[in-house]
Order: sequence, then C-alpha cells, then structure tokens
Amino acid sequence: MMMKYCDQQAASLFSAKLSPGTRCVPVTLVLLALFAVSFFGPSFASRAADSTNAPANAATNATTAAQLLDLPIDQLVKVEYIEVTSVAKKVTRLEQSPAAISVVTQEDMQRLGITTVPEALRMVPGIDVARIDSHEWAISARGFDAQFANKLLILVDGRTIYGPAYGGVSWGTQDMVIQDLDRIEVIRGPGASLWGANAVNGVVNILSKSSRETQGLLVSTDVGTEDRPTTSIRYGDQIDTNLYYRAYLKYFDREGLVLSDGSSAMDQWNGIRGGARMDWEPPTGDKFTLQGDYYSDFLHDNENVVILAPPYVQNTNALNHDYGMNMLGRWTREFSENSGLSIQAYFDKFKKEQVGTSETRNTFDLDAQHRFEIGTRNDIIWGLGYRYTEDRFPSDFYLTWLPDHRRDDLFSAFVQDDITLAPDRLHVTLGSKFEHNAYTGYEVQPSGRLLWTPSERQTIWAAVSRAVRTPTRYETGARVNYSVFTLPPGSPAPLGLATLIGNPNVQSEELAAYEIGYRIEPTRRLSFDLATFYNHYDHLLRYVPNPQIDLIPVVVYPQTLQNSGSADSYGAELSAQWKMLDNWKVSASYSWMQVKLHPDDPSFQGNPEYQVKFRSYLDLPYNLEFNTAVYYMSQQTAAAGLGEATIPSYVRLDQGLVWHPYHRLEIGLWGENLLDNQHPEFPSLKSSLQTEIPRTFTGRVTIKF
Amino acid sequence: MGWRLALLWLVGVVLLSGLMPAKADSQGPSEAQLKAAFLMSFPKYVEWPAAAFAQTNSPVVLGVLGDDNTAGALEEMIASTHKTVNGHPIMVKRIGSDDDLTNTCHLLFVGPSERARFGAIVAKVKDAHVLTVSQSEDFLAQGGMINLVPKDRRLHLEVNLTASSQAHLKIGSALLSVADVVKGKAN
Repeated sequence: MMMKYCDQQAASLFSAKLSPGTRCVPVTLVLLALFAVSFFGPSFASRAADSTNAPANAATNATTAAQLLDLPIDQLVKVEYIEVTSVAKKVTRLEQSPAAISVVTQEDMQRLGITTVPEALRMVPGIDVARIDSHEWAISARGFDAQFANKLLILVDGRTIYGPAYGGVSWGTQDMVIQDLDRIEVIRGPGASLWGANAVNGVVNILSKSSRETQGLLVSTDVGTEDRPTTSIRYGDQIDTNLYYRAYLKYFDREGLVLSDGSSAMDQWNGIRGGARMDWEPPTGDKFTLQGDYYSDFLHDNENVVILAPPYVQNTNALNHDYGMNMLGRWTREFSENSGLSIQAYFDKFKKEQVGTSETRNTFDLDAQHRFEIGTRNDIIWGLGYRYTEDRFPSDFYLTWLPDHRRDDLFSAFVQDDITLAPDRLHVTLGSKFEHNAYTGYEVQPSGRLLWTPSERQTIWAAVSRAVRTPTRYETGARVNYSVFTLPPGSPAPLGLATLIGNPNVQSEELAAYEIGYRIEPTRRLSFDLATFYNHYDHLLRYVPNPQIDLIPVVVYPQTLQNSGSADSYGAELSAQWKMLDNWKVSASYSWMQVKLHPDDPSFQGNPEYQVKFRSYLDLPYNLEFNTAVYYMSQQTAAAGLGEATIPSYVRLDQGLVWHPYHRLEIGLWGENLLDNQHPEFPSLKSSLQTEIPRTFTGRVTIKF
Repeated sequence: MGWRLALLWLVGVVLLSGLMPAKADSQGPSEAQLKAAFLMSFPKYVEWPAAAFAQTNSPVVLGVLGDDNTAGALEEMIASTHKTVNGHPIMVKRIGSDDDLTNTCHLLFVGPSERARFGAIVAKVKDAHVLTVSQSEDFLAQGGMINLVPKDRRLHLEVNLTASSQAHLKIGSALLSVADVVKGKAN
C-alpha cells in the first residue's frame, strides 16, 4: 500500500506549503502509534537472555563472555561473530542492522568465478547490474540505473570511487585481486546520514582483507573466451610481530564483446595494476593501515563523434589510456569495546581519456571519527571530514567544460546516536550528516531508524531518511553538442545542432525515503529477509528544451538543465537463504518496483519492474563443487546515445564446476550466459552501437604456495 | 515534508529514553572473543595424562605464542569470568618464540604468523602432553592438533587425531563430532 505523505500536519509545525491533491494519509497517527509502542514497550515482559533454558536458541543469544563459556561445543561452533560495518559505521551483526543490507562474501566470489567487481554485485537482491560493454556497467539500486548512475555511493576500503565529474563509477578501472577481497557490503536505501551526499539509493562498501589474512604467495590465472589471459600474483609476509604486508600485481587482457549481428564490438581492453598494503597492530590497542595502488588500462571504446559534415554523427573506435594511483592511511584506536577513534587520509589521482577530451583529477580526503557511550543507553558516533578535489578538462567541439579547471572543497560533519530503549529489544538510531559543498552550499541529511527484536529469530526495522544528490561537474558546467542533423529545405540553416547546456545554479536532487523491513529465521537452516520502501524524489535534474537559436550555418536547439523533475517509487525486495542439505545451499531473491515519473524523461529511466535471482551451491564428492546462478531481469528503458532504448527482458544462466584437489590448489571452469548466444543488457550513452554480452567460458587455476 | 514530522517524533523518543530503566546491553562477540571462548572450552573435552597436573586444583595453563590479540582476549575473558575446568582454574601465559616450551602449558595456541615455524614448534612440544591449536591451513599437516577455521562468520574445527594421541592426549567424542575434519586415528 502506497503511503503519500501529507503536508497538512507538518504545515502547522514547519510552515510548509500544503500541496493540493495529496490524500492526507494519517501519517501522524501511525507515527504517534509507533511512539506509544516505543514508550510503553519496555514495560512489557522483559526477558533476560537465559541461555540454559533453550539450548537451541542459546547460540543466537549468547553474547556475554560468561554465556559463551556456558555453551557446549556443539553450540559454540554455531555462534557467529560480528562483522558488518557499513550501516552504523561500527561493527554490528548483520541481522541486527536496521537497513536492507546484503553481503557478498569471498565464498560467493570464489564459487561463482567472479573476475570483476561489478559482476560480484549481480547476485545482490535488488541491485540492477547491467553490462553496457566490455568495460562499462550500469549499476544502481531501486531505480534510475544509468551509465553514470548517480544514486549509488561506492567505496573501496573507505575511499570513495564515485566520480564527481559525471556522477557514477568507472567500473572498468575498479579491478583488483578478487581472492584478496574480504566482502562487499551493499545497503539498499539511503545511507546519507553516515556516508554523505550521493548515497541516495544505496551504498556499496568493497572491503579487502587485511595483510594478515593474505600471507604467502598466490598465483591465479584466468583463461577463456574473454580473458586472454588474466593473471594475478600476490605475496604476503610478516615483517615483525603484528606487522604484516602484502604486494600484488595483476595483468589482464580481455576480449571485446559483440554487436547485435554477432560481429566483434572491437572494445577489447587490457591493463595492469599493482599495489601493496601494510597493517600493524601493536599491543597498545592501535591499528595502522597503509595501502596504495597503481593502475594503467588501455581501452578500445566506441564513442559517437559529432562533426559539421556528413555523416554528422559517426561512431569512432578510440583507444583510451586511463591510469591512476591512490594511497590511503588509517589509524584506529580502541579505548574500550564501545569507544574508539579513527583518522583516515587518502590521496587519489587519475587521468581518464575519451575522444576529444579527458579528465585529470587529484583528490585529497581527511576523515576523523569518534565513538563513545553516554551511560549505557547512548552509543554515539560523530565525525568530521574534509575533501579537496581539483580537475582539468580540455575541451573540443563536442564537449566544452566551463570552467575547464576547478578546485573544490567539501566540508562535512556527521553525528549518530544509537539509543537503547529496551536492551536486546528496541533500538532507535538518529543521525545526520551536514555538508558544505562547492556547488550547492549547505546540505543536511538526517535519518531515523528503529530496530525491534520481538523474538530471537525475528527483527523488524523501519527508517525515515532524507538524502541529496549534488549536481555533477558535467551538469553544472558542460556544454555538449551531442547531435548534428540535416534540416528540411526552407529552414533558416541547412543543419541543426542539438546542444545540452549545463547550469551552475541548479540545486541538489532530494529524496525522502520511508522503509520497513522484516527478517525471520524460522530454523537455523532457513532465513527470510523482506525490505519495502517508498521513495519520493524532488528537484530531479533534467534537460529542458529552450527556443531554437538561428545561426549560420546551424540552427541550434539548446536544452538547459533544470530541477524540474520529480518521481515516486515504491517496491519490495524479498530474499531467502536455505541450507537444504549439509552440502547444498540455495538462495533466492525477488524484487519488485514501481516508479512514477513526472515527467517521463529518458534520464529518469533504468527502472526494471522485476528482478529475480537464484543461486545454488552444491558440494560434491572428490572435493568438487557445482555452483549455479540464474538471473531474470524484466525489460528496461534507458537513455541511449541519441535518445532512448528499450532492452528486452532476459534470463541469464551462469554455472561453474570447481575442483579443490587439495587446499593449495583450485581449478575451476565457469560458463556465463549459457542460455543465449548473446543478449544486450543496457544501452550506451556515448555511442549509438548496442553492445551485447556473448556466451562466455572461463577456466581458472589458483595456486597458493 | 513527512520526513520532518517523523524526525520530530524520533527526537521526542530520544528525550524520553532517559526515563527508561537502565540495563546492560549486549552485542555479538568479536572474532577474538569467540576464539578465546573456544580455547577456554577445549580443556573440557580433552583428557591429559595424570602427570600433567601436579594437584587436582593446579591451574590449566593456556599458552599463546605469537598472537597478542588472542592473548589479550583470553586474559580479559578469564578476568571477567573466573572460569574453572574440572576444579582447575585457568591461566594464560604469553610465550615468546625463544622460550622453553616444555613444562610451561597444557594448551598452546600458535599464532598464524608463526606458520614458517609450525614444524619446529610442534617438534619442541612433542613429548610434553601439550594440545597444540592454531588458525592456519598448514597447521594440521605440520603436526598440529586442532585448527580453527573462520568461515561465514563462524569458527569451524579441524582435528588431527594422530598428533593428539601421540602426545597421549584424549580428545572427547563431543568435540570430534562437531569438527569439520578429523584426520588420522587415535591409538
């Protein structure tokens, strides 16, 4: 049931305008009811976690040391230790997170033969992963998927890789030694109060293992119809007590994909990356991390080029060189189990080329975070951050940047209070992020989350949040001549020129999100997770046609950027995990979404109505594994090179057979997209060519010395 | 906007939270705490020869070599719970790599960073009735007795029965039945 918020009650409190035609759902009544429950809730029977009465439930409940030591060994092997950090910026148990969160583990990546980070996200419920061409992906959550999907914030080990130039992520350059990734945490829904602007529809946190967990020499090679080959080498060692490091080198050479007629799309790419990481944990309770990477990729890219002579718009296959480096250092000090301090600094430098232009960017970021308790009820985290970024963009006929050189500061602060209303029963988390950015000034992004644990096996959570998406460099200062076409005789000029004009005076896009979720674990082998949401977007940016300008030799048809869009979306994501047998695990997810756009602009597209995902992990005798993933995506419409394209729905089947003859050796064979010769997943914004994903086979050998 | 109203409600809840009676909160254990719990539980399932304990209330000594985090977690857990096993109090001893390993402990946890010297360490305690435990793929192959394997946020067990029976240690079936892997045989 869709909830429409009503301004009428709010009007008397905040002098907000009453918006006509809105049905006044009793939002206030619902909130007052929840308020009453939270107030009176703790006075209901408060059960102390009694582990001796219910051994079957003891494992989920045993948290204090004494309780742990009371457990018999068959229960101790079932206790889970705490893991997730993204939701609360502190380590919490996955089941206790008041958000729609999923984790892709190293086991998932290993079993499905994942070769690139974007492919690791394909299995996450509700995440729309669509491959555009050999090195570009369109990835988003809860709608608005696009080549530069700007509503998802992505971080790698605490460093943001969301690009402020176009919004979105250049996924091709985010390649790492997959075996050294610990996990990828994905939150659907706004994470803005902790992570800041642009975490509108979700946050993806890619975390690599610490050096201590990646010791020794690892060599892994992928050979197949796409990888020709790809090789990773990593060596980790210990320098001193509690001082570990690792260094890696990865080289890949990947075949291009295909066009709709089966011919090569000529978008092959190759690259090299290398890096190192050092971790030091002296017994004083401090932790130090220092890591750095360097990459250099050569990409063959299909791009539209626009010229004032026939054929006016032409596809060019360009060879681009993208390279960059980054360094990150972090110091964490734990004062006690629930208090600590963390300071992080990183530097990121890259150059990204495309036809006629390039982006050179240097970013420096400094972040501090402090966690402490007030009494036994309030767990507070607060932090300050500063980011400096400078860029340079040469211009050409197709794309002009105004200015072509910018230096921007971003100041941010956040605070969050995790309040225990009833221990082990009811928690409320209130927080907000405050930012000052160089495009729109001050932004405030508050959120409130409620977590209710009615029984050991069930969790209910609810959240209300506000998030903003700040305009990109492209939206505020780029002028794009994206098409030239002939005009009929009698027109003021023989040619027409379609131009997109950026606007430095636009404001941020806004989201008001309401979410409710439910988790239940009926048995230790079966669990369900349901997340529902209602999002209202305002001030969405879109290009609006302006009156034509008659010049010689072209008539210019300009479109300027305005905050004149809005949208409402609602949906649900249901996922289940079932350990059917000791050697057979199955997981499935079903997501459904409806989006109402005002108006129906192509740049607001990328909203598939259904996504169904299924995975099966089967362990066979003789150290063999047979792993399967099936994906169904309903059709999607999205902005494409010169307009809009509709991608038909598809079913994709990936399967893999993995053999571990002994623990140092792994040999695997995977087939992807087995049901189709090829299928398209998403159109490109830069080119009119539609690239399709062919059937792929990959073999991998991994040896640990 | 509705979100402002919702936030006002939540702020009200915060202010009222001060009226609630306080109670100790709990969160899940960390990996180090869970590991310490295992190490403190193993003596319940292992029988040492009578000579290993001078008296019926001599302490069970858990030695930790090359892993300060685990030693710290063990010390904290012992300090807060004062656990005993069959009447023996539990003690933790931090052991340096050059220390004499015989007659110092009943259980020796070897940190994974010592993997290059597993063989040497295992050889040193071969005749001393010491239960060797670690958290590393190589450990059992090098003669270690129990290996802890973190997987999906749980700790799994692997046991080398040949090694433990050579040291005249008897590992109970309750522990063996929950181990993922049991290599070798008891004599």
